Amino acid sequence: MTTVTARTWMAMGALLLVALGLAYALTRITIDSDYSAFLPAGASDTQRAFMRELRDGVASRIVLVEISGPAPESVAEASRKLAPALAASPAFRYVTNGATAFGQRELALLGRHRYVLSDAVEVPGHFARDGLRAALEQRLDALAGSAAFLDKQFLANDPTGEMRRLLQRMTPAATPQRLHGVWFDASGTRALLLAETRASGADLAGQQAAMTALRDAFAAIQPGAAVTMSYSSPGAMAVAGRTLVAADARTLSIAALVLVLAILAWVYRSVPVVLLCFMPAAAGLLAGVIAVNAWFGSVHGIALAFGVTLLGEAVDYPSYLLTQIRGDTPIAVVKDKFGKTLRLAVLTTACGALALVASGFPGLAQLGVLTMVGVLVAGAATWWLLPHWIPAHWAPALAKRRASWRPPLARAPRWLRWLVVLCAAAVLGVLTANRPWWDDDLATMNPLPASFKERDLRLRAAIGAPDVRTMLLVSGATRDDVLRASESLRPVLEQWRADGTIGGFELVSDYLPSEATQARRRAALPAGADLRQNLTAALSGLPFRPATFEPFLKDVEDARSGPSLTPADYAGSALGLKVESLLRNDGGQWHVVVPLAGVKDAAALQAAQVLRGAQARLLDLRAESIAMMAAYRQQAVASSLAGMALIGVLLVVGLSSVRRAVRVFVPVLLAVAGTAAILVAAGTPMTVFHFVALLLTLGIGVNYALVIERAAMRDAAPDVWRTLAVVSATALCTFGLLAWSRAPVLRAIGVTVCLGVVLSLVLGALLIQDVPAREREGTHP
Amino acid sequence: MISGHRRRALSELGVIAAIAAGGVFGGAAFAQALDANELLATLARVARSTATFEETRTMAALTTPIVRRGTLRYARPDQLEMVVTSPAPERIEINGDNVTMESRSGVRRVRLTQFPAAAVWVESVRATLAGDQQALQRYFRVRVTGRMAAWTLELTPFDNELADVVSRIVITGTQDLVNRIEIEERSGDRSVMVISANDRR
Repeated sequence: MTTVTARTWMAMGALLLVALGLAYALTRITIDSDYSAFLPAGASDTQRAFMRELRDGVASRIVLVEISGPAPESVAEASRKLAPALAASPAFRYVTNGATAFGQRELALLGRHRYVLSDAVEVPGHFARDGLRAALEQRLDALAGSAAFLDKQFLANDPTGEMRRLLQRMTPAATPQRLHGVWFDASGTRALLLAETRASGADLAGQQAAMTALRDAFAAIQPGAAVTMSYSSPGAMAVAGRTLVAADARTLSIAALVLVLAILAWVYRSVPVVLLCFMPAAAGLLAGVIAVNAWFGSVHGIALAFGVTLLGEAVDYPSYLLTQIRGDTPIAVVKDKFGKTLRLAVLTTACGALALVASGFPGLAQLGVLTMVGVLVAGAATWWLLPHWIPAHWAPALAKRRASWRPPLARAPRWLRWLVVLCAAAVLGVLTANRPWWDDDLATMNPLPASFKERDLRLRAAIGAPDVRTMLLVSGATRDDVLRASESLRPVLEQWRADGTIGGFELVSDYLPSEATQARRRAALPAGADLRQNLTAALSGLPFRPATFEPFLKDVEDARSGPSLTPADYAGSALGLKVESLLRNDGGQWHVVVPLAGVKDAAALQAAQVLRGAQARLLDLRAESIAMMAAYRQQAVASSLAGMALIGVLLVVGLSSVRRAVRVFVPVLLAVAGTAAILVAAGTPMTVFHFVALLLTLGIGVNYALVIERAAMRDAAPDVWRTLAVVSATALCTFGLLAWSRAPVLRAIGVTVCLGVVLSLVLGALLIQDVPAREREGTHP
Repeated sequence: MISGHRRRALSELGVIAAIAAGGVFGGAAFAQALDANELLATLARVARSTATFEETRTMAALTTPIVRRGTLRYARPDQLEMVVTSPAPERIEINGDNVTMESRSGVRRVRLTQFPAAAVWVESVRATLAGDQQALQRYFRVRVTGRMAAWTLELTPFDNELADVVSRIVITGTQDLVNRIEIEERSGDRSVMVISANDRR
């Protein structure tokens, strides 16, 4: 027995460790909320491009805002106030409400560079006498028409109408209508704004901060009582989804905690003992988080959430010992009796997790480290610390009744039990035939109600924003290579737009032509003297005052000898942002992103031969995400199979018998397979979340099987079923509640674990129970 | 060189609408010092009118002015129509917020609220003819001088988009009849529309 001094020292040491651990956790641990950090770097070029788009893509940063209210005037007023307020916020880098689409600065930039930007410059004879004459006659007609003001402002500098042409080309076909000076939807009741967040779309904390800034800015402009704002963006939806999942997880965890406390209180009738039950798992979680942080530099939120789920197993560890205590069996005796079983239970889970560590996927590796360190520490705490703190002479209330209960199933003949299992397997086999086993589309895990998606689609259509989904990606070695390729895409894109395959597109080469194109256009501009001569000839007989066009002559001359247009020329303007977001340099490789709007059939575009010539490929974000989740899942399955092999080896070594290892492991594997099959048969193809839940099921199932098998060897069945009743009741409470969540992620985990727990118990009872007497005597004296 | 996006928004509508001040006819009144209330109340009595016009646009870029001719029609409270017969046929119809423009290049339908500056411009004429003082004062500094027999209504736009282009609109008339609308632009260009009424009710 432990002396009081040793016990005090132990307690103080443990408390000190926990305090140090907590202090470290609170000050040093970085929780990473950028979900792309959880995803693999991407095997193929396309996947890497997908990751980059997911992280930094302009589409993932765009926030669509609508303001509605009873009077369009007050709604427009709110839009006019909100746009500058957002533009001033550091959370946003670009805002437009239609009034500022092309500001003075942008118009001045386009005007200055119009001769290298306009493709009409290259049309033969554009600046010859006849070309100029035709242009001037058009200008004269316009001056006599009702649109005179529109034309008059560009007349002196730009009689050939390059600006008009540029603005027409750059204004997307699907811009919203402007009412009261700002964008409105088709009904004319809601004002529309488009903003781009500074934070990447995958940075959920940054997205959340941006949404807060948006709401604050709207509140600060005091739009009036009846004027309301709503918004949608990929980031906002991810944040809303996460908030919903977190809220459900919190509520259900609290409910589960209360239920588990009630069960444990009923079983143990002692406050300190009930609290002690949580100690090992808590210590394990703390140690696991610290280990992950030390190893990876930060802990990912998703790994943490899954890790907590996997550590759910550790909450049971104390109960394996505590439920065995009786008046005549103190904990030291229980430890002696069940020590090997508990050690194996902990080590098998740690082994399973070890396989995840080696997977090479950052998310899985974090999850593996967290689980491995967590269960080891929880096991150690249960083994070395817990017994010292159990009050002397304490025994669970149940222990007073010495039941000799055995599950009725276990009493049936052996052949009948196997027959039942085989029949069930056959039925499941039939039910799952021709059904998909896996679902890698993350959209099915989207916890948000359909109204979110509908609002997003409605706003996207109203504002003419590009789909977040589909884009073309042009890659090349130099900036000029990709710009030339981008230019070569224009004819095919125009064709697609004309035949309705796509609704619209945006080419960065419209803003920044390649060197060759710029040079060609400059070369097409006539020399000063020639142009003057052409103009004089063209003006003959027209009522224009010749001196009017001096600015034109000067502008052309400047453009002829001007330097190349580079991205630096656009710095600090909306055009600069556009170029920056559509043209990227990534590790020496250049990429042009061509956002496509209103794509009808992505597969048809994918197949288009023309794209290959331009080194362009279609990036379908949804398809890429599915492919990536599939890769993730395959890796997870491979790692888990390796983990299972390890567990098998460990069981053989730990139980010193292949036969016993098989007896323990087969029911567990059947339970896991059965759980998956029932899910699939019920029409729920498995996602990566179901898979993580299956891993937990495996861990729990091995524990149950070990306990059942151990008891069978010693013929101690009644005690064991009491233990299993307690641990499975707590597990079913915790995960049963999750099954009621609104969030598919939590529902998936809850349903899977509950099924797994029940199947593990049933199969354990059916298949392990009766160990032949000779074996019982032989191996264990 | 580019003078700004706002001006682009100033569509054709503005000009036409300003010009579309239908001929208006007068009753008896012949008071001395005139105030805006009195003038606008008089104008408000006309329910509909038609007139012919001749508009002379003088521009720095041109050696000779452009002269446009055609007819104007107004019906209370918010319908205006302008038919240009020379130099090029054109028709603009404004009905409430809806604008239809027909020219050789086709038919276009737009909404007036899409072009705030143009809407203000249309209001300068429409609110004048409707005698809607409140609408006028929302967009312009209003100054009335002269007598009922020869009055001048001077409108200076508050609205920035319009004020960027137009410095002043001066409407002159006799009794409830508008006979001249002059638009002065900041560039120095100007347009003078002379109106001869031929029917009113």
